[in-house]
Amino acid sequence: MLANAVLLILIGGSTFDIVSGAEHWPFSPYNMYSGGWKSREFSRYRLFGTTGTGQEIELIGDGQIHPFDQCRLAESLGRAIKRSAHTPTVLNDALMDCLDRYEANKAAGLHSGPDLSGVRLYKLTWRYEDGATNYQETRNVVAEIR
Amino acid sequence: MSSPKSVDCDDNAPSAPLRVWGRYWFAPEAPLNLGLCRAAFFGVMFWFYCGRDYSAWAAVDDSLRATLPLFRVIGTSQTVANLAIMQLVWKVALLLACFGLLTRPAAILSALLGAFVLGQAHNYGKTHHFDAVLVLTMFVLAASRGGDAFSVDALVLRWRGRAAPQPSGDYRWPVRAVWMILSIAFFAAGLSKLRNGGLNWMSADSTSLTLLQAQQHVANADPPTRWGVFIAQFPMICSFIGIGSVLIEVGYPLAMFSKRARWIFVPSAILMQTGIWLLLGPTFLQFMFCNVFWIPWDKLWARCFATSFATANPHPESAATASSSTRSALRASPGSRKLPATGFRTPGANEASV
Repeated sequence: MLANAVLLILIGGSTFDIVSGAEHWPFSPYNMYSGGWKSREFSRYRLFGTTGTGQEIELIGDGQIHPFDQCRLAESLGRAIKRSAHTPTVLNDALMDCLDRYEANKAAGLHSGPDLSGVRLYKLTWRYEDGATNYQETRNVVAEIR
Repeated sequence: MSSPKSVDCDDNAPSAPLRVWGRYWFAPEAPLNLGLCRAAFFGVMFWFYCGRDYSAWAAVDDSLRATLPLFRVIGTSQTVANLAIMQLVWKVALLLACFGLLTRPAAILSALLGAFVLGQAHNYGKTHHFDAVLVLTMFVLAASRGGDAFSVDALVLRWRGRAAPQPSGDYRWPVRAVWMILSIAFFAAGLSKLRNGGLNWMSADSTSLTLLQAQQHVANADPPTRWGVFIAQFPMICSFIGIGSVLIEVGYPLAMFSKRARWIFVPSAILMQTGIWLLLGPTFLQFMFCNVFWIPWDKLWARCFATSFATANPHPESAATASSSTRSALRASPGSRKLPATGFRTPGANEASV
């Protein structure tokens, strides 16, 4: 009885997510990388730290943004941007949290990056030329805190 | 005048689909393979996760949170300290389950705490897909009798004079359940590509852009090589990669039913995931832990340790490959046709099974 129940739950839960396309972790439709590319241009949000001397450093290292990874942080900040349309303080809180966590991680010895005076959120866009591997990158500032 | 009922018209006999279901999942097997799978799986889990710290997720601001449906029900973590304690207990449970000490409670604790600890990261905007199969596998093992062999618990029972467990469907279904978990994951991935990307997904252009995009720090980890940039310049190779990926994923479930398919799709998927890491960056190492369930550990054990052991194995192919000194030990016992937990009769020991 228990075995059959477990099997049916596995089959049922997975089938539901596959049919609906929704994620109900640990069940999933496993739709990563499934979209395919129809355009040679794509964008991602990227967090940069700013130092007192005006230098910018890309915050993508695991130690710098721990426990996030570069992909998860970009997605999370993207959601914060959308939510900020209804709750204006959300994005500011998110960026402040990233800065605080950078400093805490440095104090914990997870990285040895420079002291930051602020963070800046960019939307990076890359455009690849037809049949070529070179690209053009553009940056647009979305938000920053100091 | 009605004809006498034949033996085949027994009203209490299960229907054909149920008989197939019962034969596939619950044909009697010796407990050793499941025990070895259990030990291997929890062993690699402990090895991989013992040094990893998930407690920092408790300190992340709510502004970055996107709570999963599961965690809306059970709640998210409270404090860093609480989450640290939970993950410590989880890791101890993994170790106990590996050695098979208090196996059932350890496996249950592993599953429950594993789901909570591993799920933390997925509450922040992005669900990665390399550990869901691990959580489902832990739940399968929590519901199984994985501690009946190759465990401290089994040793203690033998020492106390308890007889070795008889072959049963209880030792077959968990291993095949993990086969199914993997098959569903790969099949779903292939189906998603066809559904969301269509045939364009497999085109050279789409694959080459995916390879190029990976160089821009977009995955959970950067690819350790720049081979993707080189490969992206060759449309034929890109097409091969795209078509091959979908074929491997969509065809993977065949491994559940065919030994030949197992030899094709399981190694192919491992190579594919290795290639994904090398070319794109996403790390699927944890995902691969479940592949230990494809290995017939009991047959390897019999080959390596050609001494008699008490457990009988009803599978004819096992008897054929075992050494002569173990054949008598592996021959099906008269009691192998006992009713399994499902309550309906399983096929006889000499019937062919996948």
